[in-house]
Amino acid sequence: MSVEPAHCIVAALLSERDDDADAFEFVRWRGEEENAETWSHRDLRAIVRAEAVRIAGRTRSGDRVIVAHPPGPAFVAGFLACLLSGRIAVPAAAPTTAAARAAVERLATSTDATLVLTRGESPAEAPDREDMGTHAPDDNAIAYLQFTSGSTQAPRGAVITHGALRANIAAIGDAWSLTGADRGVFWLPPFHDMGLVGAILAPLAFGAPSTLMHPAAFLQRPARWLHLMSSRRASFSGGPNFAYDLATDRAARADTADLDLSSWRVAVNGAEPVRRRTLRRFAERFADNGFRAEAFAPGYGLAESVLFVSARRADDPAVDLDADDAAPVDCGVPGRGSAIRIVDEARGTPVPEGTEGAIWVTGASLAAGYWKAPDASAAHFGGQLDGDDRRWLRTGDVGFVRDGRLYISGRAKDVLIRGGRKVHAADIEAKIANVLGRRAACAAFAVSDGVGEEDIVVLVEHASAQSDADLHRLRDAVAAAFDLTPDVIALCAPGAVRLTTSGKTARAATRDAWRAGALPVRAVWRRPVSAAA
Amino acid sequence: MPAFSEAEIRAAIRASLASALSVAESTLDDDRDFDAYGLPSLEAVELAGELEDFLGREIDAEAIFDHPSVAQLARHLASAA
Repeated sequence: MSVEPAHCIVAALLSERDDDADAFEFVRWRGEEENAETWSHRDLRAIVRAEAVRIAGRTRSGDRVIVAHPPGPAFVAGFLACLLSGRIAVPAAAPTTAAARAAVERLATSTDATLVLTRGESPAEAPDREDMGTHAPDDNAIAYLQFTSGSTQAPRGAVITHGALRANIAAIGDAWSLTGADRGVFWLPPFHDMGLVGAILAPLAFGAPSTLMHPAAFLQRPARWLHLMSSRRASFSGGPNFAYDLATDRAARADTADLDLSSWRVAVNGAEPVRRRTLRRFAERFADNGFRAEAFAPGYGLAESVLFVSARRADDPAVDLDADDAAPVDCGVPGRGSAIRIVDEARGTPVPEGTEGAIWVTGASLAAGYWKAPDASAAHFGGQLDGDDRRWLRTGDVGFVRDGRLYISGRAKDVLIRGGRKVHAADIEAKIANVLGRRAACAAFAVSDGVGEEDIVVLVEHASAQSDADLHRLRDAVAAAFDLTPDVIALCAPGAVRLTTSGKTARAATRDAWRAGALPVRAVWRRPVSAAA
Repeated sequence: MPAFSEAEIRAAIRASLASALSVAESTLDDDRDFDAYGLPSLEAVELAGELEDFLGREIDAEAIFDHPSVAQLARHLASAA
């Protein structure tokens, strides 16, 4: 299959492929035993068509359908069946707990969904007709709503059209020269943009078979990810930065001696800040297994642009692993069909090359807006520049462009400011993890009384007994690294740091719990009031 | 492989969870979902590791997500022995 996907992702998946080649496999473990459930393109086509008939029989064209199967083949089939039948899919985490059930209910209410696909749903009612509904959508038709796990505001549903999806998949294939000769391995949750588009839809569109696994199976034994890369001779994989740290730290040497990672051509790192130290440690740890540092493909993206905005392309120079760890990692050039501007939002004008500013994005991959949220849509998707009639997305992220390449320096809303000094919360959190020598759950945030200067609070989960010495060590490290003394450093019992569904630190939620006094604080250090700022 | 009763498994889960959360076992509610305690997924998976040591067999990490309370997980593990 060529690098250009067909007009419609569904047509590409179902009309053109009807053979015994593997579409994907889903791997589970029972003890040491690995069990793969493999679906050919013929299987996929038959199951998706049947599911589309069933969905069409229970809903109307354009209805929202929540796809909340656990990670696995049913999720893939359910999602594609929605698109095939002209229904709007709404990917969601499986409602296995009370909190997840409540989240699905909120999603169903806010989208007026007429059907929830999940394990254990009531048996299919007999379809009242045999057709699959509409299945030749135009570019402006809505394919799905990608609800984002943004930390500081209520989740919002990015409206992804068939045209935007097709453009973004084309850009992904173009950046990394993906073909049917590639093979992917992914553990990412399928209801997030990276797991849905990067791990499932793009590989399917290019005819590249992929091996999928449950995120929990990866978290439990990170080496499983690498074992599948090795045994499948896979060329394409990726995940957020923490996945590489987890694999480096938790895969036992004895368990990785036989790995052969020499086929790994594209190792994407995206969705959270890319850390050079992480890349260097991973490359060093797995060099003897044939892993090539040239495979690293740091990137930048967000659901409001389907998934992908920019990345290091397969034919770009390798990431410089020897540069200063504190300097942002090169996140490559904009994908085909997208453009980036760094903007001074106060003036509404682009900044000179190399200057930090707000990252704005435009192009064929842009979402149509947020579902039923005209104010938020206008605020985020309504960026305008002089002499440019394009619609620009204000990403909320901060960075700069040098030699045409994008560098991310933080999220605007997570900038902590003290006396004109700006520090990104993620950097303080990384420093704490560095000092403790482990992947510590930590949240840095600003607490404002609405009048005076904000208090900077650093909250660290600490499993064992602690002492004032621990607190002082953290305070000193942060002060030394950022020339900034937090107002409060608190050690809390595990569970205090709130996380989003994708495992990112939810700083605003953690801050709210802190302010409400709802956290199990074990020890706290406060900056003396008399001290100079 | 030693076989454990559902009650024994339940006791092991309670001990592991109390340790992970640093709370007294008496404060735990067997029907409360793990995530309602604010247990992050990484630590939930570590809970599975402790249970593996106790039960002497591997535990499918998905089970923690599919049976997300002390009572549900104990029932599942007892029946899937």
